[in-house]
Amino acid sequence: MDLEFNDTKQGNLDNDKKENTINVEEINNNYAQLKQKIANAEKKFAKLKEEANKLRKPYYKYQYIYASVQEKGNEEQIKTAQSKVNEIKEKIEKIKYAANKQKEIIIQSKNAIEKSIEMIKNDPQMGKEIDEALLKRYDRQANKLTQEKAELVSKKAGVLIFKDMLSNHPSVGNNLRGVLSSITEINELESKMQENEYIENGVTKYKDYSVKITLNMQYTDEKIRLDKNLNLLYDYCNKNNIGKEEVNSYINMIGENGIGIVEETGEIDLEYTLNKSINSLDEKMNKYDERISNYMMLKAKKENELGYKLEKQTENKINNDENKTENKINNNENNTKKENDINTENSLEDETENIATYSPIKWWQFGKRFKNWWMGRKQPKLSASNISQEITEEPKENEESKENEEIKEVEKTQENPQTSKQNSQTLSDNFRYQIVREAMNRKQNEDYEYVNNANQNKEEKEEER
Amino acid sequence: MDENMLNISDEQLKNLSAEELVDLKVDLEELIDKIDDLIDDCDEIINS
Repeated sequence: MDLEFNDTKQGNLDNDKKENTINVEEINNNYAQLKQKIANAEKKFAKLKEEANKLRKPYYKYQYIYASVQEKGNEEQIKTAQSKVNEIKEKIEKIKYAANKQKEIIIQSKNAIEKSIEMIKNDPQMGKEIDEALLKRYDRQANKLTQEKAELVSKKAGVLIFKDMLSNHPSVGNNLRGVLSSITEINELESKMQENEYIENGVTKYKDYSVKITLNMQYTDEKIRLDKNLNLLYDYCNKNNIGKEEVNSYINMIGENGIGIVEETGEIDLEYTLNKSINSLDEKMNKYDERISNYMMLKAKKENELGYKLEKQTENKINNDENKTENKINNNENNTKKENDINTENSLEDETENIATYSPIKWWQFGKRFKNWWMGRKQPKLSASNISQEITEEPKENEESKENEEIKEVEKTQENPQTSKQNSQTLSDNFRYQIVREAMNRKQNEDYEYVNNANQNKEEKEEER
Repeated sequence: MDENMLNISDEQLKNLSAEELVDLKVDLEELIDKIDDLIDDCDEIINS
């Protein structure tokens, strides 16, 4: 009987265990399922964003056509252009509507989670755990957004480099125009080719075979043109230490925000296009700034509530890396200035080559590298008359010997009037000569006193006699 | 798109730990930001 009893008890225990394991599994599954749902939602929204961005180019194109056709074209052309614009606008509105609807549902879910959190917080120990978890998570979000923003900063730096290259080398502008127009043409041809195809019993067939051949030929020609312009662009950028991948990412980004067209000529307006990309990047960076400062604020609030500060491990790491490469770049720049002739120009190629010797540079440091180069270009060049730096860098010596040296230099320049003219041109030189003048005056006064004393002694001696 | 894709019920949240709840909350906040970006992009295209 006992055995039976024991058996049943053991059986009950086993059942309980099974139930518990099921519960634990359910709990684990619940969290895992919800995480998976959120990940799936993120992917779907990323796709929607891609779709919306793909509609951008044709929308701008048909808007341009509609605008130009209104002045010159007939009613039929105006109608077709208008219907195309409206068709694309409708698709974009649908995407926006779907996004808004889903956002409402997600906000409801978020509110449900916040309710659960508030209920848990009634227990002070659990409340502390929640606050600690929030603190860590806010810190991670701030770091993540900072890194994402740094990508945008380096992209903007890339676009600015392109802009600068265009102003210095017009042929680069032609290459870039060629690339952008080829990409637009190829995208259009691809969509026309897709419209001409259909699948029957697993076999691709064509509505009009002659159209297929024409489109294929146009596609091949356009690809050749694209490759030619791209290779020329790669070659030029390579000389400026900009790799192929970077060039491709900048081109994609420039194309994303729409391409401006000069109305009179129909040519791509590069300045307008690049400025649009820069403005769009600025807006995105402003959004990131808002979100980062929001998370930093929430983090500070939690630190205040908990009474301690979270260790800034990842932030410090990023800052240290940035500082190290910045120091290297600055040291390198100082060395190049000392090595170069005073009158030679600081060319972009020299500087980028020198910076490149300190590779590998992290992707988020590209923006700072560009900024250093840009500031270096704007600084006045060293010339023979700009000697103030030498004065500031001299080690401390005896005052007398210093004054004597300066007096000797003044005497030398007085012998050579041309150099004195050059030397008097800059403020630093005027200052230098002020120091020298004061030293000379001091010496003159000392001599005067010496002579005076000597005369006085003489007079005293004569009186004694 | 599946309309009720991300509808989280109270039942699903019952037995989650503090960290898990916080994790999900911040993930949803991030997702809301991305949706806002998408809506802004759509507005930018239409209004340009």
